[in-house]
Amino acid sequence: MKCKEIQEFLPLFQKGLLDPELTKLTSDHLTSCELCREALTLEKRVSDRLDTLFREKAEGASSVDIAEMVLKRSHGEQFSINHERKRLKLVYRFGAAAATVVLVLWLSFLFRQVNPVIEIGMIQEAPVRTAFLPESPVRTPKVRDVQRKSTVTRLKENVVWISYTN
Amino acid sequence: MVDTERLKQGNEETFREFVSETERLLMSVSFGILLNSEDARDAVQEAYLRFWRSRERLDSNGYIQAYLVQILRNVCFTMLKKRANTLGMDEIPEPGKKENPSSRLGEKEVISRAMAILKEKERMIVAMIHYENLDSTEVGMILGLSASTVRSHYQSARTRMKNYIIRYFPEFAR
Ligand SMILES: [Zn+2]
Repeated sequence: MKCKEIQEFLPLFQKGLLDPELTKLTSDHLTSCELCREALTLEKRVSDRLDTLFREKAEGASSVDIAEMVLKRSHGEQFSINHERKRLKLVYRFGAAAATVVLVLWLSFLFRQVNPVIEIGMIQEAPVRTAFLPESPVRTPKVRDVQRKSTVTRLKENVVWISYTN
Repeated sequence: MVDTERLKQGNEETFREFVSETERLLMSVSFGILLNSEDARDAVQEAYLRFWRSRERLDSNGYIQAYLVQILRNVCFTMLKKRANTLGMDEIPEPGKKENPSSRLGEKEVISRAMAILKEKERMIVAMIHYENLDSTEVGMILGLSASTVRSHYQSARTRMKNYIIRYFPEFAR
């Protein structure tokens, strides 16, 4: 096997990741080749520095209690979530109450404003002389005939007399 | 190995145990990707938090380390994107930049710079192999790759690092 190929195996060889057959080949070659032994020295140095680098960087982590910090953050979130839920519940309740009040006010306002004109038309060509007003929350509806000129006299609370003036 | 069911139920003691079993792995992967220890620590914490938040969705039959590393990768990617415009790596310049031959960097810096030229996946693999001494099968399980793919990534990563060092830092190679 050529030196170039052997040198490509060196990182895996040196980390023990090469399969047994190639490991044997490589180590046999190394005993007889000065050049590849030099290459292995460099690979080893790179490898050692990598080990050190990661050891230093990664061990920085163990000085901090990650689990505690994560749990604390998670509790904090949970607390604020619960807090938020309670707050929302209050907001909803208040909102519902306010909406009911507004609805009631609006409805009563609406009934006051119901068109106060009650229109009476002709029934089958014959003019209507008396008309019964529909039950209405409107206190004093105005009554007029939409088809002919007329005067309307109120007889009872909900009965009117219509006289036509041609 | 911790009990996944207990984790799902939110057992904090189990979570502590799980963190102590996996934090070194996570930290090395995180540093491998971000090449900055402070960011790496933040990313690890964020990854555990996301993991813990989504614990109820854990797959009891799944390999939780792989799931955790996947979360971490997403966190790291987001961080990389965020800092795309700002210099973040520990004193690491643009990869491939011509070095001033008279500048004598420490060997650790030389290695950091050589790491910076690697792809993210290669850096993770190098990190797991060097820090946690995982073998290619274990690394493969975590990354969802076959052992031989892991080996070939590792081999090409190391070859590129070596070539970079010989070219820009010949004094290291001597
Ligand atoms: Zn040779």
